[in-house]
Amino acid sequence: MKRNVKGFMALAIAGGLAISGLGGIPSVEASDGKTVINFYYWDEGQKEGMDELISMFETSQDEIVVESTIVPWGEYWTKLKTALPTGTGPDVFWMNMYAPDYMNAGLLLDLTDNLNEAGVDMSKYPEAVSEMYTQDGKIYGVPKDYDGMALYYNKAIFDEMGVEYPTADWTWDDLLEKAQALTNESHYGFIARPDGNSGYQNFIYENGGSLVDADGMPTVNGKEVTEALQFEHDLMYEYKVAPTGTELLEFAPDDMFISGQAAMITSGSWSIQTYVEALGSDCQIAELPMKVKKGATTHGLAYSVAANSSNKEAAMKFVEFAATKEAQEVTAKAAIPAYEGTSEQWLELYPDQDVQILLDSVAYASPNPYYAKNHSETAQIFTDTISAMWVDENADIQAMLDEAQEKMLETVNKE
Amino acid sequence: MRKRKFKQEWFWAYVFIAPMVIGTLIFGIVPILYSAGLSLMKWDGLGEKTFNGLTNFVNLMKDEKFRYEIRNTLVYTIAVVPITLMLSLGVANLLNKGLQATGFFRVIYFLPNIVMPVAVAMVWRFLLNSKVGLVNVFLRVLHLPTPGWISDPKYIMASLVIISVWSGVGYNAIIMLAGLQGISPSLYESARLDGASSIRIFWKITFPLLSPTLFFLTTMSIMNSMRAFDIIYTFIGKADQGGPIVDASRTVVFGIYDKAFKFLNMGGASAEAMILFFMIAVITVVQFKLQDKWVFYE
Repeated sequence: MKRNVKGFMALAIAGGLAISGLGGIPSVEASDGKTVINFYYWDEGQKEGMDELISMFETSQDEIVVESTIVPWGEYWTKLKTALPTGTGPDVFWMNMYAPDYMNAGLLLDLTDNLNEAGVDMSKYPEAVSEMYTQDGKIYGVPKDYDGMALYYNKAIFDEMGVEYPTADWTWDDLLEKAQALTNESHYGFIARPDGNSGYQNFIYENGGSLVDADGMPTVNGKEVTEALQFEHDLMYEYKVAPTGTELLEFAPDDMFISGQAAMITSGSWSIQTYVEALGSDCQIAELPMKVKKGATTHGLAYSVAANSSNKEAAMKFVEFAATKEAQEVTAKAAIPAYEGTSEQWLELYPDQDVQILLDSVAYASPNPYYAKNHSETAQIFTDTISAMWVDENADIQAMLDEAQEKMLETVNKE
Repeated sequence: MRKRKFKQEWFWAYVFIAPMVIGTLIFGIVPILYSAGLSLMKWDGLGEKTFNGLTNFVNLMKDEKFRYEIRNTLVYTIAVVPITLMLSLGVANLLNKGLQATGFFRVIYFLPNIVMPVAVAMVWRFLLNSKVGLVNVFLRVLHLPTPGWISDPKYIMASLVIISVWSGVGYNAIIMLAGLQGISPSLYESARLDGASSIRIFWKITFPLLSPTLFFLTTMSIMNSMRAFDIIYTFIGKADQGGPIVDASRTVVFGIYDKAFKFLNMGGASAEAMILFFMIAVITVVQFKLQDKWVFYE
């Protein structure tokens, strides 16, 4: 017995040493003298496209090898935040709207000169996306893909209620009128989702408003914002054509739509797969209804390089390659590729739906708001305000927004 | 000769506790000291750390969300710990009676404990759904009120307590059962021969002999409840919502998570962690002090 314990301890210690030995910094050079660059991304669903991109890149030259790692979304940002400053992170990685945090901290490499030398034409990418990764005229990321936004509707419910399908020239009045005609005891006409990107933000843009000014200061109590949110609040509580915020806490908006509990919903291109799987050809797409203009939200990912990468040259070669039309085409399956005219493959996936609407929305779309400082904390104040507004039948929209504006200004200016 | 052997034994004793000590140092003591240092600094997790004195603590005191967090954590602990322990004691006694199929019930009661908190939260979200959830279907049949368990800020804490008790009873009951089975049957026999009532037997034999187990479980339950996070975070649902429902259920660790990983405010998060650390430390010290009053060691 005693011997067993000793043996076990020895084994445990040896095991511990072996594990710690394995956990060291990955080697920079492969055995055959090729340079290895590390590449992080988070979406398992895009592995096929990413693998294809890497093998294309590796066959196009014979000096650089790409070592890719999928870091799940839940850990991705924590990992980047801890690894990049210490130089133990990846050389190349996906970036999203959090980019300003990284640009401000000097963790992203300025790609401007290299992209110019390599002849990469930035005008081939949607401006709303490339702008997200540009600061003071310097480019910190090459656009990878983007989201489109649309009004999704359940054709079966429209047929059942004898309502004509949404058209491109729909206004908010049409939305309300048709939503009223579509509402009965078994389903609502519309879902006013309490989400920014896919929900209320679009209404704010359609009304010519914005949550943030050019300097990144909050402007959430402007007339346009108030009107847009009042309209959505009225859809829920005044006209009762949309589930209330309380109901949406019980049933997620997407679930309500795909289970036929609502006829219309606004959402991004990422939802189409789920919606079509559930509703088949009953799921159709129309342009978002407009108020004073057409409006939508877009968001896009980019490839970035670590400022303190030990293989800057090699990393940049890979990013330049990923920026090309051919490279963007092979990554088209799971997301709309950013390069102009590379989305055919994506369009073919949904022959029954007019997905072109999603692609076109980027032309009139604006990016998500980004506050100059303390972004997440400032944005959370607005999220809290919306959540409170959505569940309160007697909400005083203007007063709530005034209060939010004051708190947000205080937070954004906080040291 | 004797002395040398003694020395040698000490040497090996240190060798054997070394992994434990090193582990505690690296994963326990060092992070605590590091957090204590961070709580006095401003750090976004990316850039430079700058010393800012007690600013983080002052900011916490001004923060209404922090007040909700303290309130919710205390309410949660005060509700969950006694209910869980009392139910567990009942279950353990039933299992100890040697009713039929004890093994089967032991497994049934223990199962919730090995299910991932995330899965528990998801299933309960469904059960507690105000329209289609099984719980309200029952309540409706019994003509009782059917509250919005997951959408009404007044009820959300009750829901969280129900789930936590449900998933905690099994573990506590099994430990108590082990404690109960460690009590010699001869004590009960002689008590019964002397004509003691069941209630008297419980208070004079079972409770004192079970008290070390109860003490251990109370201490651990309080610590765990004060640190509650995963079930609550997944139960409230999407991380990007806020408002009344979140304010009514956010706990101290919830706040630490928000500050550290959502707002990149490592200093603020560390300050809140230090406060939680001292709250738990004080409660635990008091418990150990009170131990003499009710815990009986054979």
